[in-house]
Amino acid sequence: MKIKSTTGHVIYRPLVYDFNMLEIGGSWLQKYDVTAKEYIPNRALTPYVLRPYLGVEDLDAGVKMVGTYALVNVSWTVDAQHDGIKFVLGTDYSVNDSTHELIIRQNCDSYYAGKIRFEGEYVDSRRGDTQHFSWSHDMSTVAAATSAKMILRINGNRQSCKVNVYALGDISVLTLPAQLYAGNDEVDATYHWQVFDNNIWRDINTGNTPDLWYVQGADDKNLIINRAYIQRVLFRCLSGGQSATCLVRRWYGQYDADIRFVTGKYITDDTLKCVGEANVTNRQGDILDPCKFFDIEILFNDGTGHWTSVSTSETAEVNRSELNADTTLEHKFGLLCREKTALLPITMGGKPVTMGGKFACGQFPNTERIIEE
Amino acid sequence: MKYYIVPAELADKLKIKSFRSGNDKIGYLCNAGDFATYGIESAVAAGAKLVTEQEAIEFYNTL
Repeated sequence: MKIKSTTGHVIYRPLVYDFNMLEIGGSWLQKYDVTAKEYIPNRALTPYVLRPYLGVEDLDAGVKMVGTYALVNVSWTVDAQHDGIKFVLGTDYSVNDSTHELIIRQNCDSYYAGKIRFEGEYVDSRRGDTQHFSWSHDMSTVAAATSAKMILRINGNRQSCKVNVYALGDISVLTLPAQLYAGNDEVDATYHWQVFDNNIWRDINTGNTPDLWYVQGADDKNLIINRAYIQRVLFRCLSGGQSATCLVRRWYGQYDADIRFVTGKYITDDTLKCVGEANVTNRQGDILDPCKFFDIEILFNDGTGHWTSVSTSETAEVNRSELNADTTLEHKFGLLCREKTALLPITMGGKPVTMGGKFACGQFPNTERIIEE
Repeated sequence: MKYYIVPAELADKLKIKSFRSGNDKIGYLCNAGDFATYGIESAVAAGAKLVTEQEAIEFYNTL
């Protein structure tokens, strides 16, 4: 005789899960300082770690378990790139086999929208249920300038400066150093120099006439220029979103020009000629070879009120035959001493003149020729 | 970002030894963010040494 049976069931209440993803030692959001060219933080030095957290509570047994070691079928997907190259497992990131931590040791390009995805499962052996856990997040890098105040200095001066090129001194090259600072710290940055011309800022050597003062450094922190060609040039340096200007001008300083009679101040029977001599002095004394720096013109007035140009050098001679014999008239030497410009390109019809493949240059008086006492 | 080299004892307290570069002999390299709950002043008092990024790179390269 067969037995009769009835089936009983063991019913477990479902487990209670608490799943979280813990960010350790960083954030999914990274910064990139475009000025200092630094990642903040630099994940190559201090990695970004994501640690899955799983809490499992068995209500029937009254047991609470915390840990991720029981997770199975764990997979991490990291979609990110550095310098245009996709992250590689083992090189750019790794996964801890026991804790399932994701460790990212590489910085993410600022222009790339990265993504991290986690998949894992927990098997409830009592019920044969499999609980699936997934988590995903963006991973991006924000490019920004250094938060400290950016200051661009030329020649150590903030925003603007003036540099005098002493016309009577050294005419070799001059260096204009620029430096970008973040607060008080020097910043490694790129630099670009421009020049103000015809009421606009333009790049060097892109004007109608050549920038003969330019030596090198249009895209460098140090602009090197030739003093001999500088008359009055306004420069601008651009770096890290900042700009600073520098006016460089030819400068003569304080000086005084005068003319004196060498002979002939008093004309007698035996006076054969009048000789006048110009000299230019400054605080250091007589300027040697003044015609090198000044446009000098000596004029003579025989007493009739009419000035005649008699020399374009430092001395002038007027023969007795040209002197007035009238003793009531006073003869005079006059001096017209004008500063010379820097070497400037000679233009014809608005275009620079070249000679033998080189630009023709000249120095010209920088003021008008006005003859009046 | 400021980087620090912390002694092993402090790294233990901060629970960063598993994911920060270094060893018990020369210390562990971490950043200011790792002191979020501990406090930078406390960390410095406990032996954390501020280093430049270049020094941090040199430290990392010696490992």
